[in-house]
Amino acid sequence: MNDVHSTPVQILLVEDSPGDVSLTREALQSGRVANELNVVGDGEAALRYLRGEGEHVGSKATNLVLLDLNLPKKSGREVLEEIKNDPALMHIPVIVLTTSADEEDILRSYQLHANAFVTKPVVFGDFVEALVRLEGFWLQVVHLPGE
Amino acid sequence: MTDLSSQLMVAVDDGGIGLERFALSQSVLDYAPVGMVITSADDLVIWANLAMDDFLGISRAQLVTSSFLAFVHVDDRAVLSQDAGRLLADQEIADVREFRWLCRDGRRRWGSIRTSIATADSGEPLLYGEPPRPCVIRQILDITERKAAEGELARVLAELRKRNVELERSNEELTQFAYVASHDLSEPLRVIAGHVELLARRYEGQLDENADRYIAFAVDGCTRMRVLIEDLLSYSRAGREAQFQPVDVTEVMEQVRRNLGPALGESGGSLIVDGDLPTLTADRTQLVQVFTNLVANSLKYRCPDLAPAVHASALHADDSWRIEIADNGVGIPKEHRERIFRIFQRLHGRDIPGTGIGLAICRKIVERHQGTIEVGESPYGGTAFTIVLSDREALDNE
Repeated sequence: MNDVHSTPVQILLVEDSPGDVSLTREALQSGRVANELNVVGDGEAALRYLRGEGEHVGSKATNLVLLDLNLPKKSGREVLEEIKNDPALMHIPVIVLTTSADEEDILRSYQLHANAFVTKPVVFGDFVEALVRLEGFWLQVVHLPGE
Repeated sequence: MTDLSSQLMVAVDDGGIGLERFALSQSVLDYAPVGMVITSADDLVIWANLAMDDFLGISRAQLVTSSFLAFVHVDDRAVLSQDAGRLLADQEIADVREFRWLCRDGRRRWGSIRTSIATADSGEPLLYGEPPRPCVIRQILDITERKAAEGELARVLAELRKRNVELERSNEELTQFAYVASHDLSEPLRVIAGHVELLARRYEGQLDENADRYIAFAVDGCTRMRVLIEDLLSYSRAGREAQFQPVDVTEVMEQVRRNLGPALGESGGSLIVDGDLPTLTADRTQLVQVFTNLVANSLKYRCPDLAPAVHASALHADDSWRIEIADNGVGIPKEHRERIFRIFQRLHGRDIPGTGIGLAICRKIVERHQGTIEVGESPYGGTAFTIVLSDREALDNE
């Protein structure tokens, strides 16, 4: 295990459905890692946030991205591709978190260098469990750059 | 007889055939069901048999001295004229052709025609006219009815093909629709169910009794909706992309026994294979699903005071296998026997869980195997499902 983060871990949730945002927020509160959940509702805003541009000037460095695939303006796939092609962002782990369990979506995401592809469990309890484990693995078990 | 035909007889006579003999052969020719015309090299009718009267709708007397090609459809004249020309040049027999002609009563007729050079008994060409030139025989079979039937067949075939394409498309759309609907319904349902769940966790006992009950109903509704959506998805997927190969049904039953091990144990039930079961060309996984669903149904709808016994047997009849799954359960009343195969149709209330998808899936799979499934009374007192599947070696892989 790594040292417990002294400052809250910065998670960026890219999700356009407020209901899903609410569920994800609730689920992450059950985790053991102090985190700060930042939310953007579309793909372009996600990239501006990560780059600290526009309305997101001065945004804190993100430790983990939770990315939905179906997004307005710029799709999750495009956002993923841009992050993984940008030397300033490519080190940030991106977890695709989506309703889809489609083989094509899964393969395409990994080909674009997603760090993990997670299908949102339908049952809330399972969703919480999935997020807690994701958070535990990515924020406690693995060693990320810049820690 | 016109002058021309008496001239022909003279010509025939000149060729060494007696008049008597020609008269005999003319009566034979007259009543043949084939139209026959002899024309001069420049297409004037010299002689015709009786069948031509009927074919063309005019009397033979009118026909003689007319142009034969004048009766032929304008688009077919050139080729028939060329046939005669080529024959006159090299005296080979022309191909049988199809052509159209116009009957005097206005009906368009179809014929099959053979053109040849008229020869006398000597084998020499029959000569006619001044200067004498070989004559041409046209023999015509009336194929109007056959052409009409062919046309009708082609029309029906084209119509069938069109409907088939439409059916395939609407089927494809339906499959897509069910898949997309169930997929897209899951998303808002997850949000609803998640928040209802949160309400239940965080606020149970903090509101009044009614609130707790409402939340419980909402949780229950979400659960049932989720099961329905999952079932709709399995139904839309059922029977797709079947891999046809030889499948031993005995082995399938063993798999069913393993799949239902807990249910069999819990109900004290037994799955009995009576006699030999065949090997069929089928998709193994799908066949296992069908029989698992049927046997599971038998265990579920059992008589309360009887250990469930499910018998599997097979009969060979008319190039197909009839596989029967018969139980000693509660049975299904006659009036409900068709309904039970429809999606989400149930005969029992909430006391027996289920959404009514199992038999719909069974029917879909069996039909994808070009088979049938029926339900009737079991010799053991309950329900008997009969599946009829062809024992053909290779079913078309869809």
